[in-house]
Amino acid sequence: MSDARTYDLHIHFFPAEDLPGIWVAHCLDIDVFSQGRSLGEAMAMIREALELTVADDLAHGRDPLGRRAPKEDWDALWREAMPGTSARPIDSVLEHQDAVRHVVILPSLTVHKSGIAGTGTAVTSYDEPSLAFAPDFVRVATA
Amino acid sequence: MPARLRDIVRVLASFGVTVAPGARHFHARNAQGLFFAVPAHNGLKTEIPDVYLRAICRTFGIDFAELKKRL
Repeated sequence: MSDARTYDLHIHFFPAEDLPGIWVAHCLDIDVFSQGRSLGEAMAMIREALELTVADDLAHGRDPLGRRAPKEDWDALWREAMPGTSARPIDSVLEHQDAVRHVVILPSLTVHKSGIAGTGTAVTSYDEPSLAFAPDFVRVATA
Repeated sequence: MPARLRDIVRVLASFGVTVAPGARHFHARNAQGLFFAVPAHNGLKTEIPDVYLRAICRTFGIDFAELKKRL
């Protein structure tokens, strides 16, 4: 048995106010954070954090969307990050991260479900999560 | 003011949240089994900003001011 769940996500990247040189990544739909010493590392880190969190929630019968970030975080996204942004290729943004203030990515996360029928006990595991940055464009507000 | 992961692990334990080492993220979990990934790209020396600590508190129902007091 195999099927998949797909989540459409909003991920906001911004410099940490209290930690110079650190980029914070916040997925508002699932309220998952991560960080990195560069924008590229923050992207790789949030990808891993999301994969870990969603797979764990599903394996324990929880809806990852139940973690949704509070309204004030969504308001800040639309008020501070999205206005004035323009769509740019990810590679270009990573090369010029010093000139960037906010980055917003709208990727989808697909988690594949594997059902294993045992001796009268059904064991369900969620594996092969994959976060697709597609299309390869991000919304960017420059400094 | 940011905090080091080493101190966060210690303080979370006092709130009943266990933190297991992982590769790039440590795995925090409360008694109800709720999971939260904590970045550890610099091991236990990783510094975690306040915005992240607020999210940890939100997830596990911990009072932010009390957590900061214990750090």
